Amino acid sequence: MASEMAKALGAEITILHVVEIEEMPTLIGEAEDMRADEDAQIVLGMAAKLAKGKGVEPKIAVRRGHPANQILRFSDAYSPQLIVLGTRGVTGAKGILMGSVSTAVSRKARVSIMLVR
Amino acid sequence: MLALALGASILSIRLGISVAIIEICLGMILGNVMDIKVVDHEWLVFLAGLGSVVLTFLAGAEIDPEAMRKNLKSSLLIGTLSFLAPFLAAWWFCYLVLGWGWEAAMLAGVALSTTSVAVVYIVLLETGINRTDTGKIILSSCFVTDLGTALALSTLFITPNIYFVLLVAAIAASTLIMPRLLDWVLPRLKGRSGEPEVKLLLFFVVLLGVTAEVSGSHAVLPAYVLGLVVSNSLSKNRDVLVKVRVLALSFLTPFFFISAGLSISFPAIVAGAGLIAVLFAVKVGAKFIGVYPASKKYIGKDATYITLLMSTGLTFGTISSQYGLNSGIIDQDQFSVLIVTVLLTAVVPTVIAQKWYAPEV
Repeated sequence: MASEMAKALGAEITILHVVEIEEMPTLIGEAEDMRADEDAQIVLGMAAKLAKGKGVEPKIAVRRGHPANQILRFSDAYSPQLIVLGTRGVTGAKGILMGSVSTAVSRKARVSIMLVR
Repeated sequence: MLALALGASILSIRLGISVAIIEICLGMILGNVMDIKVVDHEWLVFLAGLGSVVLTFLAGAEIDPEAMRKNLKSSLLIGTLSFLAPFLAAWWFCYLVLGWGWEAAMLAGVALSTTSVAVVYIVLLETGINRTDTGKIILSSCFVTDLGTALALSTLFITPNIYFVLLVAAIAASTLIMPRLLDWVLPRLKGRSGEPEVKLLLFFVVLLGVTAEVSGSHAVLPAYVLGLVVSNSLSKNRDVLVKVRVLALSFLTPFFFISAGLSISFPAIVAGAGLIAVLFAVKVGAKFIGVYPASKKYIGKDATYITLLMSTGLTFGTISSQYGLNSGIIDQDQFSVLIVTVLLTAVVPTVIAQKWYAPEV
């Protein structure tokens, strides 16, 4: 949907993937799992291919950490006009304690948000 | 046990909770429902002990010695206060208020003095300050805290014998020899079948551990120091470090955390629920007294956030408590209270910090 909008509006699009790291690891090394970065590149590759299929040349970015915080930080750094976000949030105990990603981003973002089911 | 460890990993992924906490909880359920006792299974005692030593080595290996050297004064100050304040507070509280024995109270102080370096690192990574001087000061302070814990555990409860001199000599020798040895050997062993580099590292970890046992001390200090002195060498040979970590986290540390859980008594937790809450408050309160002023001075506006994170602790708290139980310094009831307090400190301060005190994004 973001690609279609970008194409229609002649806008630039950046696909951001956040590698979620375990918040309570036993060792620092668990947070620097390079396999997660490799998976992120695969996901971004697929997303970029989809975007190109819609006629848009996307930029891609990877961040590590809590998804909502990293999205907000990226937004503050690059000032997009719109953040397009899926509504599938954090599950399990963490979701109950910390809330969903889309809720957190919607509440704190300084730019417009579009939530996509 | 391996099925339990696998189940713990899957639950950890589904629930988003630390796998170590899940392993302890599953061990606790198993121990109380099926009345399995660790001491009845020598193989479990051995693997759990080996797991704790290797884990401690890996924790030491994650230290950035250059960052520590660069920020030595501030790291030593914050780290020492971060260790001393809760150590003294918990020790004297348990001794004077709860009436625990002298050594049992001291052990409680050690168990509740710790900081979870990995949790703090994650949060620093999150905020992007892990690479800044502030981030390096915080991390180095956490390492100093855990070094204090390792030192306390290895020296306060020993009955010195002639072999203690041997241990000191072994630690000194490893500090001088190991970096050079690994820098020379690891590139030459790279890519060989049979993972000789991993065997070499484990050999020295176990050798120092055995020396500590023979000297009447605990293996945690030599393992931590060994990790520290070889951290530079391992950073140049990251694949070796990854292999040891995979071995530890997949096979050894689950036995350690599960066996800790097996030793927890449900009735003791129920009876001691109020005490657990009080000990939790003692630890966090003491951390604030010790860490907050120094954090405010050297770090500034996010001092509450950092102090809450430095109130966390799991690995060294569990190792200390397990040592106390195995050595007969504390009984099962005291162990249960301490371990559950340690578990709470692994979770609650992080949640509070992230929910209400997270730095502005």
